[in-house]
Amino acid sequence: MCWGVPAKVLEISGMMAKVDFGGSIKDVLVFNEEIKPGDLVIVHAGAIIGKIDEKEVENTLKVYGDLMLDSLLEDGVDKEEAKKAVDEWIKRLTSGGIDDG
Amino acid sequence: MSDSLDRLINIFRNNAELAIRVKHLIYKYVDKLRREGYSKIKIMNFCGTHEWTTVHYGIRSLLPDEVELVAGPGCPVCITPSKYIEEVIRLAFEGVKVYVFGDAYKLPSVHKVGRASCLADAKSMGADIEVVYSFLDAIEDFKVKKGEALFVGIGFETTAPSYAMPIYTGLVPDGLYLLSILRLTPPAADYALSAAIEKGLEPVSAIVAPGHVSTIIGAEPWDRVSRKFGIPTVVSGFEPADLLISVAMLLKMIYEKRIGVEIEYRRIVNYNGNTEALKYMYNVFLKDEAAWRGIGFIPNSGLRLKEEYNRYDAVGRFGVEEPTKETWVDDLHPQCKCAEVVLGLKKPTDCLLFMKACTPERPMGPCMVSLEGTCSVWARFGGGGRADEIAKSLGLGE
Repeated sequence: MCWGVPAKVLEISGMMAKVDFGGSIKDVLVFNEEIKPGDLVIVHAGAIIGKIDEKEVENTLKVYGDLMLDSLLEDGVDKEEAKKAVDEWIKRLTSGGIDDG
Repeated sequence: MSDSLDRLINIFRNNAELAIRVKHLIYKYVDKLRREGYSKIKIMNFCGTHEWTTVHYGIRSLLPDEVELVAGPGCPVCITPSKYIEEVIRLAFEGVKVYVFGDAYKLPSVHKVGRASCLADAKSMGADIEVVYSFLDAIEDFKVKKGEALFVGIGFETTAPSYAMPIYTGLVPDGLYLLSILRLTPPAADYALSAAIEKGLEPVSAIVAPGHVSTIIGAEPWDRVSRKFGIPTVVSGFEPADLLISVAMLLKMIYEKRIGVEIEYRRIVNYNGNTEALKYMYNVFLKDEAAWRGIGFIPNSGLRLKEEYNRYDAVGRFGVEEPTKETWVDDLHPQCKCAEVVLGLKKPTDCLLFMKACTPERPMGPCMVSLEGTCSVWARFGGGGRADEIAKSLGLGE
């Protein structure tokens, strides 16, 4: 039941926000003062439960990158080469250049 | 909106390359663990949405045989005691307007009230029952209504602040009452992890912690659960790549013999949670021992309205009879295995009723009702690697 739907904040008015779910526009509750128009947020049961931090998307991928680096090193790939491969791959991923393969 | 969202979806959902690479890593870690003598790695989730992602995207069939993903207590509808549903049906028949989430509309009661055994039945007999998207929508709707109404306040920590804020800020109109059946996940996790040990079953090796619950409560409570049971925990997002990355992180933690909590769902979860939302929640509610369907009472696992908010409390206003420890009886159909399914002790396919007497269209057990109940998820998407089992029995695959 804790389903969260991403939405973009259009307007803030006190404790209410108008959000766009990608076509459907709805008034929802907002707990946090730092939420601003333009923010990408997660909405659950009529309330913004948190803001999606796009910088952290890259950090999540860095976590994955570290796992990948370990793996390449174990396979005997040179350290510098492995680092370069991981960086390039994450860059490609975050620039939106990956298709659904 | 579409650009940012499409970008996220491209990274974590529509990304076969990432999935294949992470799967490769998972197999590598399992190889290492096998050499260390591990024969089974049981990873438990505590969120219906994680189970949905696992089954919908066929994550189980991507994992080595040694890794077992188990669904723990992660669905607030599934664990709502029958007694509350019976009381709400009784009040609806007495003329009280009822607002309920769609997820709980068909939640069956064990005992019939009149001829109704769920709110959908009561509605078909003329009771004034309305399915709403949120407490806020119920508030907006009730502003133009007369009489008295009750909101069926089901949910975990993710939902609790959406009830607390309107109450705290005085948005709730006179005549609308909240029946708080809110439950807290870390105490249930503690209960489920202990149950596996007490019953002598394979103990849980690692935890996938619920992403949206943790958006509110933070990763910190999971750190405590993790340290108590000496097993690693990762707070995970809900896209298929999120779950695969989380499994890889957990396997690495097991291999490195590390416990504690790490956050994979960093784009929205932090260690301390949403402190503003928590403030609303604990200004309005206090923790109490609470009943879970089929399980019984778990200490500090429920939220009830504080005394100063009595004027919004449906329990006092309508004399709702709540379950008590003294009168508690298991509130499931005698053959229903939902209690064990919720605790991760059994799979839906272990239940004799599953997809025979109990189906999503005519649910008998609570886990078959909510879209995120484990039985309902397995029923709709053929979960649990059943396709694999069939393939194996036919000598295919492997």
